Amino acid sequence: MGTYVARRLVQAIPILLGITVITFGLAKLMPGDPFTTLLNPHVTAADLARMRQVHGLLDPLPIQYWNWLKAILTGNLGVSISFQEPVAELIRERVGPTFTLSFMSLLMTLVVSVPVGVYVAVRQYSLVDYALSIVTFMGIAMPTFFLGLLAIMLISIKLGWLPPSGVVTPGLHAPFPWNYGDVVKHLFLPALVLTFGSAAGLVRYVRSSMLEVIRQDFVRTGRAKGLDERSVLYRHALRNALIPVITILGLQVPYLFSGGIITEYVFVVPGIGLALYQGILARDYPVVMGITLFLSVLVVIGNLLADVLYALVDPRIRYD
Amino acid sequence: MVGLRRGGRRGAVLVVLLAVLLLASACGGGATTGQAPSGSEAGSEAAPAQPTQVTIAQTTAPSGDFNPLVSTSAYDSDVSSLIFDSLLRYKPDLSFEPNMADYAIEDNGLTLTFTIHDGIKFHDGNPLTANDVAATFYFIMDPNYPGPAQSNLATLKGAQDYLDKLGELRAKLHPADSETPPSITQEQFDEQAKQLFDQWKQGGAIEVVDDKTIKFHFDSVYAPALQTFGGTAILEASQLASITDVANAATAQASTHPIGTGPYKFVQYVTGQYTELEANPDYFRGKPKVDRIIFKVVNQDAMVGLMQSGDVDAVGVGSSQINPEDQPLFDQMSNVYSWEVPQFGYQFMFFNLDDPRLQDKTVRQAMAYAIDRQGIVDQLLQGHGQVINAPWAPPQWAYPKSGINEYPYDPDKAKQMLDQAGWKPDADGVRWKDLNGNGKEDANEKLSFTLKYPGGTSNPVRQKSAPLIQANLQAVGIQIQLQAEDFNQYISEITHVPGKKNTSFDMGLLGWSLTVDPDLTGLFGESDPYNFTDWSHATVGDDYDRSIQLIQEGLQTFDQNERQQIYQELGKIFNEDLPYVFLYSQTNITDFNKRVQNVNQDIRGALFNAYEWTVQ
Repeated sequence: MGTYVARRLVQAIPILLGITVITFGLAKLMPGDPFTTLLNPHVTAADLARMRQVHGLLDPLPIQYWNWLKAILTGNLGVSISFQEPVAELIRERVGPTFTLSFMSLLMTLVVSVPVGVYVAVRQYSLVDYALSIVTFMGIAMPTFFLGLLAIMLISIKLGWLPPSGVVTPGLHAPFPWNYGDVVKHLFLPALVLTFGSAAGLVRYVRSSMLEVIRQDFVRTGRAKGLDERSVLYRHALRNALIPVITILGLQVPYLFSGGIITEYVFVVPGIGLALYQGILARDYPVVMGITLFLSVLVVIGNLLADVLYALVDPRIRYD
Repeated sequence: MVGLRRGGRRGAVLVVLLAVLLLASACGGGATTGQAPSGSEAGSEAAPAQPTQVTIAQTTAPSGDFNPLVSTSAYDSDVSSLIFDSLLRYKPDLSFEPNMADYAIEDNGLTLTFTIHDGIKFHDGNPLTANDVAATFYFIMDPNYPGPAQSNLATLKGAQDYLDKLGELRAKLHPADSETPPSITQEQFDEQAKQLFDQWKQGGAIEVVDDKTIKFHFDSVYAPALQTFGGTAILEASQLASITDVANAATAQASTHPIGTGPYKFVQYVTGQYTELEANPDYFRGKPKVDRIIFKVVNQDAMVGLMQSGDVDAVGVGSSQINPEDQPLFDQMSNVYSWEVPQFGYQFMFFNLDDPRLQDKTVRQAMAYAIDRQGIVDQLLQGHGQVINAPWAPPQWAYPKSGINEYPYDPDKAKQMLDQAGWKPDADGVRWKDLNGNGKEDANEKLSFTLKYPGGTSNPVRQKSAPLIQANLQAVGIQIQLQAEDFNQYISEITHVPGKKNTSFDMGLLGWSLTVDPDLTGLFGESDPYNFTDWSHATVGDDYDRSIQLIQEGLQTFDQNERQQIYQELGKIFNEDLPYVFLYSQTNITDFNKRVQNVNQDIRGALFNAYEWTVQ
């Protein structure tokens, strides 16, 4: 196992390098640069040339990439042009809100979708199954933008239960661990909206995976041996049904950090996803490159984690 | 057995749902206490009074660089306008009056002298001196200055020469064509640039006479000097000196934790969330009456609800405008009052004058008649705006008061003009003219154009105007395809490259947001990147030369009457030639919660007198 993990980590290096080359190329292929959209009549061609030079944008592309890579190797992700702060700082500031939001939503998703998935699998083609199918498809199809605004209007404004946006109460001077209640309160609504969409998807996975498993021989054997239905379902069937679900969860790890861009936008959560989106719009190359690299590393780790968990859950799988 | 098992599973689902609901309601319970602010000491009298607070909505997060010399974000400037002050400020009639200093124009306009008032202190307790003013403008002239405003100062004595030499030096390091290798190294550039900078400083363009007096010397009269020098926020010399890496000034402590002389002191910026300011007890006009001001980042679509619930006290402040379609909802709220003021911005549809079809002035004028601009104002802006016919916004004193063509909506006249100019409808009803004389209708002889405009979240009203314009033009036989584009891509396509014909667009939509001074330098010159239409001698002939001459003349006198006459003639040229079809100028609607009173309601904006606001 140890050598397997080590080998996978070494393999990751050329992959990450390739990703940065492609990202850099794509970012530079986008028309325009960070200063195209200044649109200030007092800015002359000479001003633009000066600003581009100061930010190193006049160098030939290979040199620009090389400069970026050299800086990365010394741990420097560069300085954002539109956010006007170091990219490492930008990621550090934004990981918190994004991760909290995504983690809450992942937790709620699991808590809701696994039992519901099992329930509808056992009652395939029942009225409840059809009803929940409709709800889950609604969840998948409903744009988060619309759902988010609806939730703000209803739960925050009309009922006044939860704050409508943001992560913390302005002016509440409580340093990090002490403001957790405040943060959770702010992020509950966006997490709920995210959950509605992702739980809907996961319910479908759990349902179909469960359906496949409960038709297998060992389940029938269990029942024949006189095990009660609950332990057949939860102790034997569900364990096997969860194996593909783990793969999906492993793939969710980077998503935990990238967040739901639209949800972050609607609820004004200053997270990673929103920063990447704004960085792309502003042609903020250091931000695009930095966040992509950060997320790529997480994808590699997430996939590795899923593979390792796989072996732990399913003794039939072994890596040498 | 069935019943039992079912019960168990149903129980599990129920427990989960209950848990979720409980969690939700538990979180909900706390929400109502959220507004209670933690105690920061307010005024010393009237013992434990709650500090008063006003929360202002911002539709886009500031970048967190509150250094007004460096930041290019209007949302940063809204915040920093309360932290910093300028030497002069303007009156409702858009003339200037003393703010932190008196001014005098001397030497036939070649010298501008400021005398700083007594008793003005920075937030760190140091007095404001002429050295701070000098340091502020030297900072802008630094070779590595990363902000936009450097060429504004080019009329200072010797400055144009210095900037030209700097440009030549830069061209040696980064030759225009990428094939040529650089002839100097970065180190050589830095060293020689510094030499040039020091030489220029020694030339005495900025002269500190004593602690309270500073003189700016010019090579030629520069009419917007009061705005440029009087309107720039003044930073403290020691703060600026602490910025060792000028190129990255935006991330310096002096920019992220600004210290100014303004009515409010910076407390903190929570990334993407809010900016907190507190009253400056030593403000030179007296301590502001509102203890704390919060700029809170909100979603524009949620602003109506946030105003209703009292989460924010003000929307439509500074650059964070409301959607005019939402105003009727604000009007219905009993706890809100509103007003509207005209703006310095306007929208226009512009032509690619490199296109022979669009070089025909009649075609451009016919389009102006064919577009129901008042309809756009009435329908899309709900009447919160005004149709314009010259390249300024209505509140600017340069906007011609009379003698210009109003181009009233008249599709019949448009058709007639096109007919007379030889643009005849073909079988499909699209007009064409045999420009190359081959007797056939070629694709590039048809009045069929692509109208590009920025899509995404950029200016929704402008996006909605595109299909209306398309329908109006189609009604007179001009075919329009609409194309929304990513903002950055769009601007890079329309940006003017001197000496090159632009083939990447036919027509486009855009808006300008201008300053108090009506100077149009930078918009119509042959070498200006923002001269999208290619307004040039090659495309419009002598009118170009005259217009550039007038723009120059407009800079050379401080006399407003004289300038007004110059701009009247300039306006007529653009009104007649129509490189742009001028569309409309939107008014800005501001809504405040009634608990906040004494808010300035003229064109200078609500933030102008934040130090006088009161809270009930």
